[in-house]
Amino acid sequence: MTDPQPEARDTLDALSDDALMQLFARGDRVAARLLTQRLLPRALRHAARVLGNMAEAEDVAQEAMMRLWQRAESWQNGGPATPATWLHRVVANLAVDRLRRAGRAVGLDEDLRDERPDAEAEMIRVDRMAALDAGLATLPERQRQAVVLRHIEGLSNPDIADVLGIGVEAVESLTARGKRALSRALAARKEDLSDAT
Amino acid sequence: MRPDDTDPDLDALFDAARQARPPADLTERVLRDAAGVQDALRASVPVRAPAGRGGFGRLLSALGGWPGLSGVTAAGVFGLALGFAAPDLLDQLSVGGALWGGGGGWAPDLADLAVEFGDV
Repeated sequence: MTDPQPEARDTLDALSDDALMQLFARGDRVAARLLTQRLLPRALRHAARVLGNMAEAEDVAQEAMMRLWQRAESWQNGGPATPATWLHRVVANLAVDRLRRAGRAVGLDEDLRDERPDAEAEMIRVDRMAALDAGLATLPERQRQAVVLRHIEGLSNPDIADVLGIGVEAVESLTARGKRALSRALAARKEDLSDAT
Repeated sequence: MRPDDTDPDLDALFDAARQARPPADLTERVLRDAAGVQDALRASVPVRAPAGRGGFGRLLSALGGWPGLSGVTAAGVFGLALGFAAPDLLDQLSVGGALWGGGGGWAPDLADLAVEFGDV
């Protein structure tokens, strides 16, 4: 889809996600595009890092965005959740459902490797993301979610508490322990790789 | 690693992860979903009065349509006929008639009321 209304987009770009949700519910296509640009990357990154599989992450991100669209008509402007935190909550739940249904706590990202194999920079990026996902996959699910939301998506601890349905103190503990465990896992992986070469 | 220590390698990985952007085909699918929901929302909005239906149309609806309007018209015509054709009857029912002003009527005399109030 092309962007037929660049001027309208510039005007609406200053609006909050809440306000764009109201416009979306009135059928505004520019609001739909802006919300997609703002929120889809967050949803996809969150899902990709928790699931460790890009194809599944795309499905989850699309489903979460669909639920956001369906929620637009009854969206409360200035309500307790922002569209972004609401979306992260949906992504977290959908991702956990998939992990549990598949009976796995980890998911390694082999699918990422088939993207643009001719580009060396892309290969390096994919390798780094694979390493990150491998490290994240060693964490318990809640720690993984908390680390992704804090250190990649930049959510505040109260927002993470809202997304995960836990207390702020629990979030602080999860993110601190999670980051330490992830650091250890990546260091061990680096040693393994250097031993193998 | 102590809790407040930073890990440059890990932070670099986080930075790289933040740069990830959705593929174009996913964005297209999400925008198609959005358009579908918006079209459905538009279709579910209650149909408003068709264009060209002005104040008279709304008044007609408020009166219950043409049957309601004919009832209102009949009542008006009856009122006019009553006014022209039966002045004597109306006179009896109003100031000079039995209902309000007659000596045998039910309305109390103000003088009686004044006396009773003085007795209190």
